[in-house]
Amino acid sequence: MALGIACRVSNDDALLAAAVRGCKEAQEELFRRYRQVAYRVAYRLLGNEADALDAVQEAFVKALTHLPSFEGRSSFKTWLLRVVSNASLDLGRQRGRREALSMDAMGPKSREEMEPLVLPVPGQALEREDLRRQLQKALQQLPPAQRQTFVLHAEAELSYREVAEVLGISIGTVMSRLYYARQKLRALLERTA
Amino acid sequence: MKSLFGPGGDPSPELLAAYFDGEFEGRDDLSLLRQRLEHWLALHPQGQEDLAHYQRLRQMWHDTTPHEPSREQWDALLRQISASLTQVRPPARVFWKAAAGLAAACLLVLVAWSAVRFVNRAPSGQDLASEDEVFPVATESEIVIFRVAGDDAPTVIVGELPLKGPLELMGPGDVTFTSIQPDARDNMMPHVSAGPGSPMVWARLESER
Repeated sequence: MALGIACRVSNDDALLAAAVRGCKEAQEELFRRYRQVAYRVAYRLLGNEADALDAVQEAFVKALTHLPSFEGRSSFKTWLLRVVSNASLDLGRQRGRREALSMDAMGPKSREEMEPLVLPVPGQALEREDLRRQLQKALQQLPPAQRQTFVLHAEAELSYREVAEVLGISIGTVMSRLYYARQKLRALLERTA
Repeated sequence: MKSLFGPGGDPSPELLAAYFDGEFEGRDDLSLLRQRLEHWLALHPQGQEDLAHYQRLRQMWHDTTPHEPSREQWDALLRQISASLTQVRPPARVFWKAAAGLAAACLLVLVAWSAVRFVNRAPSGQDLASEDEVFPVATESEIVIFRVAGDDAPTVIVGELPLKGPLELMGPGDVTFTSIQPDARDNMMPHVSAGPGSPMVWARLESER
């Protein structure tokens, strides 16, 4: 969509200022700029497309609603990723509880039947899908704080300092969480292999 | 956090991980540390093994990048977001207008009341002393934490009362108990399980320090 005269801006600061003023086109441009990284982070934290899109939607609504309170102490990207990752973890908890309840009601046999269906994709793509499932399964077994830290670093390519900023923790804690997350992933993936 | 190097001069695994993650690249202030790590890595093959593992995990991560949603899905999502924003905004404006009006009214009443009090009372030494008094907004016993994000995982909450800053949620392995002191109020030794596997609030009152 072409931006109107009042909203024709290229850098984030001007775009943010326009979005705060209520310029719809600026808000849409912010969405277009950051939707991919937001989606990838949400997907890694939740493990499926539908939930990830829900989390992205919720996060953008929250972020754009509260945009006037964004003080610009960090970049918009890191601020948004904080909202996205928190929304994803909250959604994961809600869905997890709901699924656990419905699975308990169904019984163990139905639980096996509910295993995700993977459509047969030829050759390398199938292998990649398998790999993705293994990695997602291992990721879901990490404690939420470690998972969030690891995903922000590995998927959003944030530096240690940026991750610390997003999560409001020290760089030492980031280092420690990343180390333990990798150790656990290594053990879990080796067990699967 | 542990110290960067162990007693034998070996770097901590966290430090090595930071090096593998490229955290020292382009950092002149860390060039000595980087050289020391590179020297250590040249002499210790196990470091190379760790590096190979990191690279495998990074490659695996890269190979499993999630598929992008289609253009139609993005468009649908944007429409939903726009619709939500339209629903959210008018009540918010009304709320803030009402809140601003209420706040202004309260301020007026407060200013009028203060003015009347000031006129009716002569200043005394006690008044001057009380100017420096700090009135607490809430004491630690008046604050109840209902929920802490991540409380469903085995965690330890580290913080200090009265609340001075954010409480930090630590995962197992983030905290090492080097010594545990009895509680100053009743001399009871806190119960701590073998590892930081169960939630525990560790908070000491400032007066006990």
